[in-house]
Amino acid sequence: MAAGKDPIAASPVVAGRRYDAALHLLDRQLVDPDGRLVAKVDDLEVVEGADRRITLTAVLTGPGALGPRMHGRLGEWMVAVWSRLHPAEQPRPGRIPMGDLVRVDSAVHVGRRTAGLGVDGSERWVREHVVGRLPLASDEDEPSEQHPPTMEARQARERADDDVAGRRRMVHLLGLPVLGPDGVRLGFLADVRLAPTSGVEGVLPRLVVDGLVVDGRHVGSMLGYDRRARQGPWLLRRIVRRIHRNAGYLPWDAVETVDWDAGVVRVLRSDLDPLDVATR
Amino acid sequence: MKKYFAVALGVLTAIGGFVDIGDLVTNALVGARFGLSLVWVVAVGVVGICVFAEMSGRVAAVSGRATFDLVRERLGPRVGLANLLASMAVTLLTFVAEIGGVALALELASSVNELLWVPLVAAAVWVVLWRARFSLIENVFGLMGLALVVFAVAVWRLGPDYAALWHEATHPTKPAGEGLPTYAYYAVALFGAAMTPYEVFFFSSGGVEEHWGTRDLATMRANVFVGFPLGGLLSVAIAASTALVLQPAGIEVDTLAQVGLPVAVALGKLGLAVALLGFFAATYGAACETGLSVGYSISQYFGWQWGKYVRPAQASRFHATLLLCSIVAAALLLTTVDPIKVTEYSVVFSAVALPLTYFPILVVANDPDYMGDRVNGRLANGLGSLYLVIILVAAVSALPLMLVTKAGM
Amino acid sequence: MTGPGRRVAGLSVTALLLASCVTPATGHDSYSDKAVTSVRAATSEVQTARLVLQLLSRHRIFTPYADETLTANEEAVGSIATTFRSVQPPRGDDELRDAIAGLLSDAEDAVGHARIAARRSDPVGTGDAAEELRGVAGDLARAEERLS
Repeated sequence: MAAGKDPIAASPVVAGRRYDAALHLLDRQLVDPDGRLVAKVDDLEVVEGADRRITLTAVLTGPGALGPRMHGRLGEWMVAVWSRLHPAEQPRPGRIPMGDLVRVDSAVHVGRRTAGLGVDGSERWVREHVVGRLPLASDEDEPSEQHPPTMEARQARERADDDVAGRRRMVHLLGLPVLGPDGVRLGFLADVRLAPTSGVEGVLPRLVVDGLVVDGRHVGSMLGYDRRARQGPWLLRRIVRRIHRNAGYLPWDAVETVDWDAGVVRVLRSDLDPLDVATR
Repeated sequence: MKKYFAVALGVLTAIGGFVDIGDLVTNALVGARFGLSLVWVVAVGVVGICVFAEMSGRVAAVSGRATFDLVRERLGPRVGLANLLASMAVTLLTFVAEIGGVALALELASSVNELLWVPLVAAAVWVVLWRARFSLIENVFGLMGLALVVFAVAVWRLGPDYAALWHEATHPTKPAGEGLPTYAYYAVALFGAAMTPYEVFFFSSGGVEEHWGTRDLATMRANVFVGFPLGGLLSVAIAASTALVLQPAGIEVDTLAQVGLPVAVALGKLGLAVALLGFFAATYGAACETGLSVGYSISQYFGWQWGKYVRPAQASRFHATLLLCSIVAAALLLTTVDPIKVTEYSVVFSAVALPLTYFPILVVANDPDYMGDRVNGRLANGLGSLYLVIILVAAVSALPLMLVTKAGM
Repeated sequence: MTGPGRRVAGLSVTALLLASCVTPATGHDSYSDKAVTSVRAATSEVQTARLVLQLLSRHRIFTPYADETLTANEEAVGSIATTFRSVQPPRGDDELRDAIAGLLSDAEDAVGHARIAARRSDPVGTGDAAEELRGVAGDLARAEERLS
């Protein structure tokens, strides 16, 4: 990304696989090309462009990203401990840019080896100070460990990332109250639907927020039962649907604005579309 | 030919690995106190664990993801964390009980005090988890656990009236001297012992360890549908042996030593030696399983690399967790707490934690995103939903029953 | 957890803890229950000791195993006896207390003799201990019958 330029606003939405951020991306396991488990998608980084469209820019991992999603004192404590133990002065959560993702199925697959991603600080620390000191920690013919990106390389990457203004996280977006045209609260933002655009980030197309999933209830995952008409078992489906009977969908063109500071989403109409739309 | 051998090995290890200290103690205790009037609970529990183990095994084989991995995905980080803490607490308690069980078995074999064995056993369990290959752990302790078949042999040797036994098992009536709450309490305890929460975490993670794919589904189902019921039969044999020998004498089981006495009566020293080997194998194997399960759950929640299928240095946080668990378990046992008492509490708390474990599995096994076209069929869903109700009833009634009966007094 | 949720949880925990701490009301019935429980528990230990001695005499059990079991039995009976003796009997139950305490003391002695004889591998001693245990077991059974 060139410094100073904001390329994110341009690309239009195209046909293709749609994802729901909370359902398909958040809390999913990240896997590298060797099948090694990297981390969880603890949060997602988004950027609001000049045209007010919100684009997905990176995956965030680690206690710095997971803490805020815990919504409470536990989360604050998690972030506090992490920033105390982190070697950097102003620690940032582990960040994997969208360009490094190659596929989303039952896991989120990245194209680069774990060692090259720079998000495994705690694993390295434990390896060096605890496990490495135990007898027989490694076999004789161990190939040399891939070296992590050096501090300089990491800082250079971070500086380049800094050029993109207005970086926010999904945790700041999900859960916001959704207000209709007359200020009446329609519900809370349970999930956002992401659509591909004609722009490309590495292997995957650039994803942009294309719709809102609004739910009357503040908490409670819908466990995926809302998205598919006939997912079993019957008993659970009935119960979950009943609990979340006020949930609905709003396409992006019904959204007036996302007011980050006030912490609300303002929309242009009060009637929600039904949810039973497959995401494919 | 090789395929048949693999299936046979899998079934045998499933049988031998089914019984752990919870099953040993609870079945022996219930047999001595209630005869065979609670055998129906073992049957219900075994069917339940078969249903859910098949589901979790299928999830692992088809999606390549282990169960706890998916708990956080479906429930979210907060509820997932609550689930993790509760399951981990129960599994850790069970881990403590298993290590205590190994120490007790060694004490019976050697006359060296249990407390002296505890640090050694905890260290030995950890070393096995640190270096031994996963399949080695499964196969060695699973096959050794078959020694517990000696209980079935003992029952046969005692020459019981099989018709009377069958009648007692199939016409469950609360014994005259016991109250209904006590009967219900032990039903819940037996249920918790049969449907241990850690089993499904271990089973699905084991599936990922052994790189199961869709071609392994048939073998996995054979292990579950043949191995587990036969393992359940072993549990019933233990209950029957104490019902035949201890119940008429008014002996109540509160030590591991008493569990072995029926075998001594029926088969003498040789039988007793085999029983001790069985105790050792069952508890050591279960200690490895529960220890690994704690490591699996934490790692899968946070997304850490876990497993024995990678070199220890590549799963450092996972192995550090295992080390910490072993140390904590040893420390807890060195406070001279009675491992049998820990076992009795662990099975009841297992019953309380069951919904946390089984509910997410039922959800995930139905999700085409993970399962493709191998989502649950009508039978699996019907049984799964039914069992979810049973599990909720057991979980909700466990603690009140424990208080009312003062833990089964 | 939200405010009201936390309060409910706190109250529930307190209620559970209190319920487990509350001692049953004193009175003849409850003392009689305690006596029955102690007698039953002692019977279990005495009968286990008897079974172990039988197995020893028929060479169907290893000596260390027998020793471990008998030692555990001895400790258990001792603890049952001590616990029972420490309970304050209600008025009018002093005779009951003395009778049961005496019985539990006999059980303690019998199991102790069994442990000693077994450890010495003394066949005469084990024979005597077995007889003693048989007598105590009978007394305990009669006591339980009278109390129920």
